[in-house]
Amino acid sequence: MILPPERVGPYLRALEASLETLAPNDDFVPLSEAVAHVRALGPGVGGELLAPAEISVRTGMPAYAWLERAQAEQVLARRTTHRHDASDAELERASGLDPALGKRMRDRRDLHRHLRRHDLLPALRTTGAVRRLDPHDVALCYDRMAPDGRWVRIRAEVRIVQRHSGPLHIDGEGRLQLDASLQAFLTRHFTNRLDALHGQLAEVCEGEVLRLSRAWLGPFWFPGVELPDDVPAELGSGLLLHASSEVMAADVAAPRHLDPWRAAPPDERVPDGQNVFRERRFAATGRVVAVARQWAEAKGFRNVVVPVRSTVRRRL
Amino acid sequence: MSDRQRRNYLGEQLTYAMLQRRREEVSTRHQRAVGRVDRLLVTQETLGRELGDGLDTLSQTRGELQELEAAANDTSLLATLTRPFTARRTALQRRSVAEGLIQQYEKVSVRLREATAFSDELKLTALELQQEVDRLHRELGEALHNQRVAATRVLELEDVLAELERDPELSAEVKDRRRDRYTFDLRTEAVALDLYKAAAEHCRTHLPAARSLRDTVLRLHEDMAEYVLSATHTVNAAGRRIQGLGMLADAPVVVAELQASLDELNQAMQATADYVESSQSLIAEVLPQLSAKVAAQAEASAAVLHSELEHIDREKSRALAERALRDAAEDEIRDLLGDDP
Repeated sequence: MILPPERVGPYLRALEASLETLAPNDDFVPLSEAVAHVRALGPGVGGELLAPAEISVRTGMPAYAWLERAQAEQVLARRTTHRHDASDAELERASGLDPALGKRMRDRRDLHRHLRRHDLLPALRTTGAVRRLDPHDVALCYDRMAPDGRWVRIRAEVRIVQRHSGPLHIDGEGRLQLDASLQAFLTRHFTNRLDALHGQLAEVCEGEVLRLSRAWLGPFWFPGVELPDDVPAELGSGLLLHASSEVMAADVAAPRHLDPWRAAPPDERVPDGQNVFRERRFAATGRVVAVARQWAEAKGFRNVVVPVRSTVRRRL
Repeated sequence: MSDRQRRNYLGEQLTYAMLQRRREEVSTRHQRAVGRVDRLLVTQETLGRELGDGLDTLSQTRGELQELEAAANDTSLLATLTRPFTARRTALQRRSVAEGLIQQYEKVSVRLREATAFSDELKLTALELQQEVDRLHRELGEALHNQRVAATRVLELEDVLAELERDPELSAEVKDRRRDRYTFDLRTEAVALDLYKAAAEHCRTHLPAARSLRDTVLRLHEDMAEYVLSATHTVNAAGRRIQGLGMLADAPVVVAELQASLDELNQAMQATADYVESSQSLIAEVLPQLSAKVAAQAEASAAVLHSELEHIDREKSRALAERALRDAAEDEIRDLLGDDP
C-alpha cells in the first residue's frame, strides 16, 4: 500500500509516538535507531526524497523498500562530511534556477545531515560479545527487518566449551569473532518456534543456550490495514502498535504467558531449569484503548494496553 | 554630447579593462564547466564500474541458487546416507538466499540513489550552462545596441564638425573651443564603438562553446533521468517481491520465483550498464572535442581583444581618422540594421 503524500507525516508521527510509548527494552531492536529511521522517512527531514511511502498492508509497518531507501541514502551521506554539503548560497542559487530542484537539493542536504548523525535500523545485523571468559559465555544479537515489515531482535547467551565452537571464536585478546555462517543460519531460521530455535542454536554453536529471547515491534494497525480474522475489526479503527517478546531462560522464575493474541505452543520443549515468558503489549490511541483493553481483559489479561502519550519528541 | 543621447547606451559604460575582465570571466567559467562535465563523466564511469561488479555478484547468487536447488533435489543413495551426518555442517555452510538477495538489493539501491542525486547535479549544471548562454545572448544584444548608438554618434559628430568648419558666423576662438570639444567626443565614441564591436565579437565567439557544453550536459541529464525513472520502477518492484518472498526464501519450492526476482534486478542492472556504456562515447569523443573548442575559442577571443587594443592605441596616437571611421560606421549601421538579433 502506498500512502498519499498528505498522510505520510501523520503516519510517521503516530508510529514514532507509539514506539516512544511502548519504550521497548534491549530485547527489542534499539529504540533510538527505530526513531531515527522513522524520522528519516518523514517529510520534515528529507521532503519527498524517499518517496513513495510504501507500507505493508498486513502489518501496517513501513515496507522494506521504503526503509531501505533511507539506508541507501545513508551510505551516500557517510561517504562525505558536512564540508561537502551544498551551502545556503548554492541552494539559493539552485532555487533561483529551478525551485523544485533547489528544494530537492535542500532536502537532500538535511537528510544527509540527519543520516550522518544517527544510526538506522539494519535490514540484517548480527553482533556478539564475550560475557565471561571462564566459562566461555558469549552474547549474540541478531536484528532484522522481517519480510512482513515487523522489526525483530533475537538475543542469545550461549556457553561454549572450546574457544572455537561452530561459528563462534574467542580470539587471543578475548574478543568474539563471528563467522558469517551464523547470520545466514539465523536468517533462515529466525521465525522457527522458540524451542526449535533454542535446540538448533545449541547444536550449531556446540554449546548450551542459557537465555534466548525474540522480540518483535509491529504490527501497527490503523484504518486501511488488513487485520487478521481472529481479532475484532474495531482494533483497526484507531492506532495500535504491538510489542511482543518471548524469553526462554534460566532466570525466568516461572512460566508466564501475557500475550492475549497468540497462545504458547502446546507441546513446547523447555530445557530443564529454564522457563518461558511471553508478553504482548500495545500502544493505542483514542477509542481503541478501551476496545483493546476490553478484548484483552475478556481473555484474562490486564494492563497490556498503554495509551499513546502526547507528541513530546525524543531527543536523538 | 548631450545627456539624453548618453542615456541611450545600455548597461555600464564599457572600458577595455572591463572587456578584458569579462573575457577572463567567461573563459574561467567555461574552463570550470568543462572540468565539471569531466568530473560528471568520471562519476558516471565509476558508477558503470560498480554496476559491472553488481552484475557479477548477481550472477554468483544465481549460481548458488542453482546449486541449492540441485542439492535439495539430490536423491542419490550417497546423498541420502550422508545427510544425517552432515546436517550440522550443512546448516552452517548453507548460505541464506534471503540474505544474499537483501545484500544484492542494497547494492543496487545505493547505486540508484547515487544516480538520482547525480541526475539532479546534471540538471543544475545544465541550468547553469543555459544561464551562461542567456548571459552571452544578453551581452551580445547589449553590445550590438551600444555599437549602433556609438556609430550613430560618430556620424553625428562628423556632421557637427563639418558644419562647424562651414559656419561663417562663429569666431575663430569659439570654433577652436568647439572643435576641441567635438574632437574629444568623437575620439571617445570611436573608442566606444571599437570596444562594443569587440564585445559583440567576444560574445559571438563564446556562444557556440557554451551551447555545446549545455547540450552535452542536457544529453547526459536526459539519459540519466530516463534511466533513473525506469530503473527505480523495476528495482522497487523487485524489492517488493523480495520482501514478500523473504520469509520463504530458503525453501527450494520458491527458487523459481526467486530466479524471476533476480531476473527483474538483472534487467535493471543491465539497463544501467547499457546506459553507461552508451555514454562512454561522451568521454571518448565529445569531451576532448569540447575542451579543444573551448580552448581554441578562448585563444581566438584573446587575439581579437589584443588586436582591438592595438587598434585603440593607434587611434589614440593618430591625429584624426574621421573619414575612415565614418565609412566604417556607416557600413556597420547597414550591417546592424539587417542583422540585429
